[in-house]
Amino acid sequence: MAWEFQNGVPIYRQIALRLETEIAAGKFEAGQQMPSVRDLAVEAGVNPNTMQRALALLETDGILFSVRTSGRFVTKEEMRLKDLRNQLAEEEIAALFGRLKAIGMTRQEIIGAISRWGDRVL
Amino acid sequence: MTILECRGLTKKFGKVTALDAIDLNLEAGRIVGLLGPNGSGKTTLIKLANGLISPDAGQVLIDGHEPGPETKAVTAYLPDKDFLPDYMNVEQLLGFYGDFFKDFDSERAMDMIRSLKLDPEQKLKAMSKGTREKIQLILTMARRAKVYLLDEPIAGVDPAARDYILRTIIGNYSQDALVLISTHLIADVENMLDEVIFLKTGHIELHENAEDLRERTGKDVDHLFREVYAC
Amino acid sequence: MLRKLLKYDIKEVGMGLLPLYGIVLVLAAIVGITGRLYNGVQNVPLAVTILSVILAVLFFMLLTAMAIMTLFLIVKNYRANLFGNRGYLMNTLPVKASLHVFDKTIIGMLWTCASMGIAILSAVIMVLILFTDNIVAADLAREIKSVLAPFGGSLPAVLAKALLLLLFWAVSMVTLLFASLSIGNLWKEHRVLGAILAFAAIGIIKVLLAVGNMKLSNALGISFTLFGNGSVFSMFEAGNGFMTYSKIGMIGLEDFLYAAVFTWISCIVLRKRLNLQ
Repeated sequence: MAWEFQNGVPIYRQIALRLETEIAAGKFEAGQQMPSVRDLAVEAGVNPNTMQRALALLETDGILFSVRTSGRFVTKEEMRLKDLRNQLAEEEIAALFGRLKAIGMTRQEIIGAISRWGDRVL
Repeated sequence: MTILECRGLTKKFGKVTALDAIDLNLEAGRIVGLLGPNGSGKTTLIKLANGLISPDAGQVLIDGHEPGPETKAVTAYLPDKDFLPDYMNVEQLLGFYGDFFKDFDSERAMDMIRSLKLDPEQKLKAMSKGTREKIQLILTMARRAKVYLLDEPIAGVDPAARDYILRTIIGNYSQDALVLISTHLIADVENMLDEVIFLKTGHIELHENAEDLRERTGKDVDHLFREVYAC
Repeated sequence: MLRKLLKYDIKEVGMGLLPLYGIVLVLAAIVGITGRLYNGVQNVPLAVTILSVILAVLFFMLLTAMAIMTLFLIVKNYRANLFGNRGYLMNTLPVKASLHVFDKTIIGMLWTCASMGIAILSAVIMVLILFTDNIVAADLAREIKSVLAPFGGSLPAVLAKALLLLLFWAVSMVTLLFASLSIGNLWKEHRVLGAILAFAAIGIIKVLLAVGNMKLSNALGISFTLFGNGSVFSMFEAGNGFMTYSKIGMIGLEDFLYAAVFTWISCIVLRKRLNLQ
C-alpha cells in the first residue's frame, strides 16, 4: 500500500519527514544501507525523482551519506541521530503546545497535565 | 533532452477542434500526467503521437522524428481498449511482442508475470478483466522504449489491480524514457507524477512540475483540478 | 517483418479454416465410400439411399460453407485486425502500412487457393474412392485427354495456364476487396455498406474502362486491348482454341495494374485516414 500524504505540502518534504522519523526510531540503524531509490519509490507509491529529492534533502541534512555506486547509508555518527531525535521531539512538542494553548491552557497547566499523564500511562 | 515535442499541433473532427495549436516539450526521465475530463483531447494527442491519426496542422515529434515505423519502434503504447488477440495465451503474447519489438525484454515480462502467479498457458479470453489489464500493462512496460504512452491505465480496474499497475509503472521508471499517463483519475496517480498538464477543450491550461504546483498553490493536484474544471 | 506478419495471420485464419477442410475431406471420403459400397447392389435399403442423398447434399452445403467461410475470414482478418480494436496494436507495430497490405493480400490469395485446392481434392478423393478398379487407369487417362483436347491437349500446359489465370484473378480480386473495405472505413458509420458501394463503384469503373478500351481500339484500328481481355472464367472459350500465353500475359498485366492501384488505395487509407473507433 502506498504511503498517505497530505494536501498541499510538497510530497518530498513529507517523505523526508517520514524517513527521518523511521531512522530516528531505529527502523534503519546507524551505518545501515538504505533501500534503492526505486524500491523506496515503489513502496511509497511516488515518483522516483520525488523520492530522490527527499533523499537528497536528508543527505544535505547529514542524516544520510552516499557512497558512489553503492547507494545511500544512514550516518554512523550517533550524535547526529541523537540530534535528529531531539529535533523531531521538539517539533512534536511545539505542535502539542500549540494545540493545547489553542484550547486555552496555560504553560503551567500544560506541563502539569503532561506530567500526570506520564505517571498514569507510562 | 526533449523526447516528445508538439509544435502548433492541431486536430479537428468535423466542426469540433480537438486540439488547438498545441505547443509542448517533454523530456526523458519524467513521468508526466496528461489530465483533463473526457473529450478534452487527451486521447487525440496520444493517437497523434502514435501515428494512428494525422494532424490537420502542426506536427508532433518523437525524438525528433514524425510518427512512423522508426518512432513506433521506440514508443510503447497502452490503449484504453482490449487490443490484444484474445485467443492467444500469455506465452504466445510474449512471443508476439518479442517478434515485433526489438526492445522487448521478455525476461522482465516473465518475471512480472511469474510474480502474478499466472499460468503462461492460460488464454487471454479465459482471464478476468483485472488480470487482462495487468497483462496488457506488463507487455507494454516490459519494452525498453523511449516513450511510454499510457491511456487510462487504471480506469475500470479494481483497487488492488490499480495498486499493482501503479507500482509497476514506478518500478519500470528509467532516466532515458518519458512516461505520459493520460487519465481522469487524478488522486490515484498524482503522487507518481513529475509534471502535470491540464488539457481543456483542446488547450493546455497548465503545465508545471507537480511539486512546484503543490508548493505554489498549497493544494494537491486533485483539488486544483476540481477547481479548474468546475462546472 | 513480412514473414512474421504472415506467420501470425496464417495461424489465425487457419484456426477457422483447417477444421473445416478436415470435415470436407472426411465427408468426401464418406460419400465416396457409401456410394461404392452400394454400387451395383440390388435392393438397396431405402434408409441407405436417403442417407447417401443427405450426405451428398450435406457435402455440397459444406463446400458452399467453406467458400463463404474463406471469404468471411479473409475479410475479417483484414478489417478486424487493421480497423477494429486490434488495430490499436497492429498499427502501432514498427511496420509500414504497405507491408500490412502485402501481408493481408498474400493471406487472401493463399487461403483462396487453399480452399479451392481442398474443394478439388475432395472431388478427386470422392471420384477415386468411387471409381478405382471399376475403371482401368488407362481408360481414365483417355477420358481426361478427350476432355482436354479442345484446350491444347497436354494436362501440364492446361494446368499451368489455369494456375496463372487463377493467380492473376486472385491478386486483383483480393486487392479490390481490401480497397473496398478500406474505402468503406473512411466513414464513421455504415462501414460495411460503404465497402459494398465502393466495390460496386470500382466494378463499374472496370467495365467502363474495358468498354472504352474496346471502342478506342476499334476507332484507331489497332487490336490492342489492355482492359477487358477476360479472366480465369473466360479461359474456356471453346472454338477459340485455348488462350495463348500472350493473351494470358495481357490479362496478367491488367490484373497487376489493378492490383497496384487497389494496394495503393489501401495504403493511403491506412497511413492517412485511419480513424480507429
